Amino acid sequence: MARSALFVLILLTAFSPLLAQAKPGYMEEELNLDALVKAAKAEGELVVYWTSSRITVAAKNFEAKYGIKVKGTKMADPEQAERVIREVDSGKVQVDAIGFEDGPFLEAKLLPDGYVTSWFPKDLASKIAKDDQYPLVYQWQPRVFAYNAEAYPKGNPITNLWQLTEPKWKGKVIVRDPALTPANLAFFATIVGQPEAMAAAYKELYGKALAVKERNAGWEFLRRLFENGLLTMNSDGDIGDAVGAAGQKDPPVGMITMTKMRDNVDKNLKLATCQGLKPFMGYALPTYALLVKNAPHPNAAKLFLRYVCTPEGIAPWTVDNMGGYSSNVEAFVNPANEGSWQVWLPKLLRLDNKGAMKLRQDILDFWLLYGKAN
Amino acid sequence: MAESTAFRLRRAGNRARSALRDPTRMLAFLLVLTLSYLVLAPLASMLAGTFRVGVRDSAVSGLATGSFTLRFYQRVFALPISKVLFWRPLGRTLYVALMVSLAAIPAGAAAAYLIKKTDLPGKRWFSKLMMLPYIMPSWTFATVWITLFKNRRMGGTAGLFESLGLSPPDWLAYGALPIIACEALHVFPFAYTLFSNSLGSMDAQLEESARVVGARRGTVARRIVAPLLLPALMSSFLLIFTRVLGSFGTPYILGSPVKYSLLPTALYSAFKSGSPGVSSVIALAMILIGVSLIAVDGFFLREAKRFVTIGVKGSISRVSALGRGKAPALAFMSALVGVSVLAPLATLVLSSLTRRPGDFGPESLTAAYWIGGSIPAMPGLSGVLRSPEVWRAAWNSLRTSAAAALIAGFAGIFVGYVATRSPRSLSTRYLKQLSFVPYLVPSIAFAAAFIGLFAVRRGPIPSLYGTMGLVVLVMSVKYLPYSARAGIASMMQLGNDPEDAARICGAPWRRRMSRIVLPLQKAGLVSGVVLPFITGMKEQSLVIMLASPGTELLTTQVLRYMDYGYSQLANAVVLEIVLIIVALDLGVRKLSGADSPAALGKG
Repeated sequence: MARSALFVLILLTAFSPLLAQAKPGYMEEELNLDALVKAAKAEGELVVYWTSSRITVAAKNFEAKYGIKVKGTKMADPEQAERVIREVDSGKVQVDAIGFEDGPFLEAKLLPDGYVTSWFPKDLASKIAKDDQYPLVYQWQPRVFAYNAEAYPKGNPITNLWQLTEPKWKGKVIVRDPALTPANLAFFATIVGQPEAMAAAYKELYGKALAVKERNAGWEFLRRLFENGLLTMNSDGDIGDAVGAAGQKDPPVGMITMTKMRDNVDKNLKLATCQGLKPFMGYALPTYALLVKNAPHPNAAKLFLRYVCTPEGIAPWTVDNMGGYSSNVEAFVNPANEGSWQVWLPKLLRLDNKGAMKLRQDILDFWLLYGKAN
Repeated sequence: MAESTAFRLRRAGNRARSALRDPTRMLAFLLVLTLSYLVLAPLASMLAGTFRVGVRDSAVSGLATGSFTLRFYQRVFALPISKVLFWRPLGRTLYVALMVSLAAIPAGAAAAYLIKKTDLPGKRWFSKLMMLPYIMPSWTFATVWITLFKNRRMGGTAGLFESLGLSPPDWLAYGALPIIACEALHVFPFAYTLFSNSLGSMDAQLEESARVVGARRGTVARRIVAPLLLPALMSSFLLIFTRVLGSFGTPYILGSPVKYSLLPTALYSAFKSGSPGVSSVIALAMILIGVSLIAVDGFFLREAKRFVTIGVKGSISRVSALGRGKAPALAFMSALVGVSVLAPLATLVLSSLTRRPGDFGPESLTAAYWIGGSIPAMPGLSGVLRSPEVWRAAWNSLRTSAAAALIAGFAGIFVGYVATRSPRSLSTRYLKQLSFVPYLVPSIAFAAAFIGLFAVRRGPIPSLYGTMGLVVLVMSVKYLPYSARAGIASMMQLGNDPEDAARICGAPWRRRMSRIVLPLQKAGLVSGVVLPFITGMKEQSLVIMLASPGTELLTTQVLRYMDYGYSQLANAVVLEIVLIIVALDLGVRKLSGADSPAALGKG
């Protein structure tokens, strides 16, 4: 008996790296919510870094509900990554949780090396799709091409991505700087991983086969896009302003998250999404919600992570603000969103985190070499 | 034999004991130890970092974290990508520095000539106003430029001309031309100072004698005046090169929209996009360039010293009448002051008061960017005078600069003290050299080195990552060259006599320091503290990599606002900084009667 138990134990130990490898950095917890709230309250003010400025609203709502202050700072992915690594390595961790969009780096480094934990409250298991539970996604957004509806009253001027490589759009396509926006690098890498789709789209538009000089049709597209004077800006808001400002004669098109469509009201912009764009309108952008290793306020952090996964917690991104989708099936879907997430998914590219990490340096160098003004 | 060994041992023991008892030697020992660690260890750790795979590098390269690699050197110098990462930024840096020199030196020299050698009306005012561009942070002009010329390529509030319907082309809005113009506006006062010093000390009798023996005007200018001004010319040249190499704000604000990178911005982007290894290699290259520039400067200074002008009588400085040239000269000076001082300040003020640039109608004119509780289209933000982030940043700026200035100032005095007590000792020579090293390292490279060393716990020194302590430390060490120079100079003046007298009267070391040496050094201490303090208030290149939410300074807050396109808020903060610095500068000048201390520092 004892011997077989020992045998099982040895077997388990031997295979534990494999078991762990399946979901590195995963931790699920059977919750006693009351106990968690009590422990969280005892810990005091919480610090989070988030990619969205709406975090300050979520922080206020959370404080109103639980009486726990949250210091939420908007921070781009590379800086978050840098800080989390530095803080954890230095043993002086200041941040408790992060809202992070660099999936490839998360899966390649932060989770396997233990910098962050993908913590999952099991009471939400029936509300959140299995795929979104690890690494935990609390929000999905379409990041798609948009045009100026005032300048193009007849509708979407681009129906095929290859049009963006034509002289008509030279210097008139804007994306966030890939060097500082890892999700865009992942987008480009995923395009490179789908040469057939890109070649087919080319044939569909021009009726002839693509002459490929680069490694494949995906690289060929990127090179032509970059050399056509692809513009970059620092934020989706800036791109929305540049594309959507009223009274423009020959406005650009650009990639923005759907949440920026609210600026049509706030700033009198004329943005419209490029519905019908082939082979895809853009990509599905996940925001991961993660617990930092050795977080100084672990319980408050867990409570906050769980909170943003609830219909109430996601509200700053969905209710008073269109464009965001909670990963929680029970959450409110804004009617202004041009359909449910299920309607969006087939129009969007799903980022390939693993493939994107392998190609990251190549894509970045390719951009640095062929991007305009370089 | 054995006896002599014992004797020698005893003598060594006695020496060690007396060294321990001698506070000056203890002080020298402590200074050597601390400064070596603070100056050399960061550089060593940075050098090591150029061969070691970091966490983020490991994710993209697949190499194990911490393993040895030559990959960063290859990427920076050898692979096709090195064109983008290093060679092109290097070429651009040299080009910009050259063009800035060509623009700023003639302007500065002409102004110096008009003020020192002619009867230009209002010269006192001109000479005062002309130092302002140099006192202001170097990147002020870049924020002004963007406020005027920003076009649609960048998001956020539109530039003045764009909103008037005149869309400025990219070459006018961003890149080489604006960077050169803005740097030149900032540094021409420096050329002015150097040339007016040279002209001021030039004996008019030399020119007159030449004229008397029949030399023509041109010959006098070529054979007498030009050689005497050559050192000023060379110094201006090299200082402008050093400055362009070290300045981050201007190329960041004006270059990044079109990816026109100079070396400091290339280093920063490599760091930001996740490649600290590459940025360390670039830092190393920048240090080597900085060192060679200083070496060249030293060579020319030595050459210049070989010639000494010896006059018989007291030197005479004579001014010549401008005559019909008065009007054009006045126009030139007014234009210079207008473009470099009045127009930029007016632009900042007006921009911070209008929603739409250039529109002073009731709908656009607003005080919201200063005192508004909330600002339309800028969610979650309030006017700079009511914004907790700006107040925190201001407090951070004040306390870090003050702390760094005090540390640097006292360290400078102590270095000076050791240098006077034992002028020829090995430790003095070492300390003198060592305290000069931070001057050779471009600011942003210096910060990169500090992050590498102090991000993790090392022995008894805890990790300083993300703390104000790291900012204070990096500033105190970077400003040490100024305060050490000030400290050595003023201690040399004091000499040893007052202290020796006190020692003979039996005063112990601590009392001699607190009652004699430090009180007598008040003036030196003030200049050794004030200069770093003001420099710290406008520091950006050194702190941009260290600042983080919570440790934001006023200068980095400006860049945050600019990054998000909130130019009105950015400009309001820039004005705050300029006001604080000018007020400090005037206050100190009034108290000490000295020259503008701010004009000497970097920014």
